[in-house]
Amino acid sequence: MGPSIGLIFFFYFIPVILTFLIAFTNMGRTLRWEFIGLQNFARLFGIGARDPLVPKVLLNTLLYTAGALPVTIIGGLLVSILSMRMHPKAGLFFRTLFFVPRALPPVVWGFLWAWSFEGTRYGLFNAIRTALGLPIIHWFIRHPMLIVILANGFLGVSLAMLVFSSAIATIPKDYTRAAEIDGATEWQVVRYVIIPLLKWPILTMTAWHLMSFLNSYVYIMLITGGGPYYATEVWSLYAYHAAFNSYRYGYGASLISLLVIVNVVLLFVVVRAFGMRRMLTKGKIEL
Amino acid sequence: MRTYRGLMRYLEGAVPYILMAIVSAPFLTMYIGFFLRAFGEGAVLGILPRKWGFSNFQFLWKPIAWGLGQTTMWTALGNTILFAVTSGIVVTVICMLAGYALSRVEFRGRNFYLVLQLVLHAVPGQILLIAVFFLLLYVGLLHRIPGVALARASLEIPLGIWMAKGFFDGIPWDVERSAMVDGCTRFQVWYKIFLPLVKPGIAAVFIWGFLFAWHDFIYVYTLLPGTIKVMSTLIQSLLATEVIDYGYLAALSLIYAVPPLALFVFLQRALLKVPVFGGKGIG
Amino acid sequence: MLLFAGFFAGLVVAQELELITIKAYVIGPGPMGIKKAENLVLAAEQLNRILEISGAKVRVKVEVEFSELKWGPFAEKFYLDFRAGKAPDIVTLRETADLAEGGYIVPLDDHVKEFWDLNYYDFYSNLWEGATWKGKIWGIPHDISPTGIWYRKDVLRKLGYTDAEIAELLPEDGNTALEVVGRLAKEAVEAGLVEYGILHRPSKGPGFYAALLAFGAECYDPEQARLVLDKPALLDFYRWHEEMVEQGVIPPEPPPWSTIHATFVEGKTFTTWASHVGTPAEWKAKYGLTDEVLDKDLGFLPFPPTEKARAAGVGPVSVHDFPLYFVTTQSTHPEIAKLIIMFATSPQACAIHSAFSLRPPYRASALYHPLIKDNSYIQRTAPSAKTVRPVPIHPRFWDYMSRAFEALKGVEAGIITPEQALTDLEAWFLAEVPDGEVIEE
Repeated sequence: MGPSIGLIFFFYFIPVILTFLIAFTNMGRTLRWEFIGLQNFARLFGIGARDPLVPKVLLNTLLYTAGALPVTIIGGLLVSILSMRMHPKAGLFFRTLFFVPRALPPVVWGFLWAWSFEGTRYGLFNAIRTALGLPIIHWFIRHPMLIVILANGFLGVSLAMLVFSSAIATIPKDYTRAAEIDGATEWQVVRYVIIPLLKWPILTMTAWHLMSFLNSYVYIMLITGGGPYYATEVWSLYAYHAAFNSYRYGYGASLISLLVIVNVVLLFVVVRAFGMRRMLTKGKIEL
Repeated sequence: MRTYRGLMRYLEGAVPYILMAIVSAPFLTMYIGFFLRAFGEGAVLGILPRKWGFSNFQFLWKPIAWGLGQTTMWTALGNTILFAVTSGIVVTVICMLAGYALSRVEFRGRNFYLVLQLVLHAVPGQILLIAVFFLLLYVGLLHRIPGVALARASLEIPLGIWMAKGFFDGIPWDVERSAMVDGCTRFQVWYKIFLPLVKPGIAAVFIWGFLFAWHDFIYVYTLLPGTIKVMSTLIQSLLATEVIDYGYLAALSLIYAVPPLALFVFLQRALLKVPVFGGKGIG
Repeated sequence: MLLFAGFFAGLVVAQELELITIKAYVIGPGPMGIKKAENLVLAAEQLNRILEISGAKVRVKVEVEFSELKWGPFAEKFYLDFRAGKAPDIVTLRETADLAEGGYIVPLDDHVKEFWDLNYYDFYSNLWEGATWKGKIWGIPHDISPTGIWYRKDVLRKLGYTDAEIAELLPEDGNTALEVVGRLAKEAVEAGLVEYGILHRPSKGPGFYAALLAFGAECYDPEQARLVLDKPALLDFYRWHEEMVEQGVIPPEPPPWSTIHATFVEGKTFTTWASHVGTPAEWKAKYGLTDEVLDKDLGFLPFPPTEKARAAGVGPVSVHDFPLYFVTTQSTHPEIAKLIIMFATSPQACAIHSAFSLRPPYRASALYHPLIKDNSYIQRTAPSAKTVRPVPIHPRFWDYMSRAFEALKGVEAGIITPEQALTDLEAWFLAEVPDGEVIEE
């Protein structure tokens, strides 16, 4: 117990505090800094020199998160439940298939989606369309957000499925057998036995992926770069661009700080919704 | 009536397969399309390579350029495995300990601590990199493998703790109580009784810690001298110019993806050997 | 030689051989830049030979870390290592102003002046522009790859043009109009000979900046060190691209790099604006380009100005964000590091790099070096190095280019009109670049 607190505190807490501090400076590429107070935050809120992209970025972030989270959770549940109901070898095959995104290096997953939906006849899906005599579709112009949602959503499925299937495996067979003996159909078994027992993993995955989608930009950056014309520019990507493209670490850090605050708020909302209080079984051992 | 029932039963049984097949089909297409390139020669326009060959896999037996010298892919692979396994073990041990404590022990600020873990996940690793760099510098662990492994591990510990706690929660109290009655210390309870029962949990947490260290590039590259050879740097160096060799990239990625996938399959098999204990209610 | 002798006499102190180690971080990016690193090692060998002959008891060893990664992680690692006190003696980077202002590098003025007649006299003068900040020289150029337009002569021949006509329409010095390129591309597309008329970069970069300049859109005022927003020129730029997309010459969505390279090398694209003089080396290595096709069917020219820009006095333009050898302030032997750099930019070193990467030499005398004097490709593309312009040294420049490029993508995709693109860009410019200059007409 002790070591874990120490480790986290050291490696995570302190850097986070440092990042907050950076938000108050105008640190540039060369890592020198001057304290410029709340200027960075003011820009965000449109006081003084306004940043015109902020509203759009905000909307994008909401859309993206609201889209990707269901994909991950529902997809994860779907894959884990269905695959556990099958013949073990087949189930394993499908679970492995959905684990592949995590086994590939991020750049490859990003490239895969960029290539699959490439708007020329050499992109994967367009090549298939061309072979079938259909015209090509410019997926990235018409539905960039959808592509990005799917790409990240299914990446999330790989973890969700892992956790859910591990959890399902710990459900004693007696429970499901008892339900079946009582005449429950497959669907009812799933609905009334399995899912309730998965409450904690579902909460974990929802909360964690909520954070993930709010904060990760890597895959969006690889697939669309935030485009076209900022159609998929989400908050975290915008912060990254500010920090690393324009080398304005200070502004980037302020964007991040705001994001962290939003994270905390949303986290509390999610946790409340799941009734976490009730779920935290009281510790039975006194220290 | 009987055949109808039989048919329905058959269909009901087939439903999972059909559903899964539909959902996985696009992905299977994507994977196959990409990996076909690994077996092609020269540039590939579209899906099917025009010439087929194994030249992209030469790195398996020929040395690769690295800096001004050379290395072999196996060296890089070995280093990566070492790094990822260490990280995975660190994460697993710490998370299992912490998860147990959080599940069973009552102490102040427990809820706060749990929530804090998730919040920490909010800050992307790359931004933290600069701060971590200086941290390691002052502690004297910079440019040394243990330092980087620790830093990397601590990024994944938060979620690992949540996952572990969940698994521990699933175990009834009676088990523990009876063990304590029999005179075990708490540590022995943890080690001898709990761990075997949460094997799937251990597997999940280990894969988790392993995977992120496996793919990590920016931490390893920035915090270690540039001479340390890992697979992620190798892959990154393929992407630096605007003229990328996708066949080579596909071949390398194929090999790079094998250990994590193998680990996954192996651990999933371990999962299926979960002990079934009888008839106790949930605590 | 006297200079050398005098310099080294001071070093002859100890009885045993003293070894001085010089550390260097060199980046490709990618494998093509490896000679830049090897030249440093070669430089040490040559220096040591002189030391040996002169009887000095000191030797120099160069340890180079050559990285094939992208600039981002490489640069970040350098800055962090510097902060940790572990910076190398020599590093290759591009951001002269930031480095100089931040105290990371030492000025090389005196060194260049001292050895001007020996080594630096025939570096193309336009290159020093990128190495100078606030009146001092801070780095040594050693790698140029001018961007420009690559086109397929075989497509033009199939359209019925003779080689003489081609040379006149698209001369190698770029003395023509951009509209000519557009017109020829359109002909090729309409004749069904190619799939794509013009393919430009899918991301911001020097080629994009060059295209802007070709439209007369100056983006930087070096005298005032201010960014410039040239509204009429930018409007022309966006309008022209919109028109090209409507006519099917430019695709609405810029294809990714692999498709651009592959289609061009296979003749499915008439012209690409996404590459530079050194690209054929990589086309040969990865896309199967043969020397024969390179010589016969591929043509190169710097970006020609548009008719309007030409009338306003804009000439053919080529751009490159070229790197420089810098000596860091943490170096314990800066003078020796400078000597190593000097040897590493000798005509021989320059020729070695050119021969390997197919990039033009950065100094005139290298053209006569035995290694490349018979290489027809290098000889014919060499003049491009004389007119190449460095990228502006302003901290917000690439941010500006990023915005301008996203706007281009938006216009091509039909998401916004050119006028809207310009309005948005202007709004950003006024808000984010407080000291920027706006040209209304």
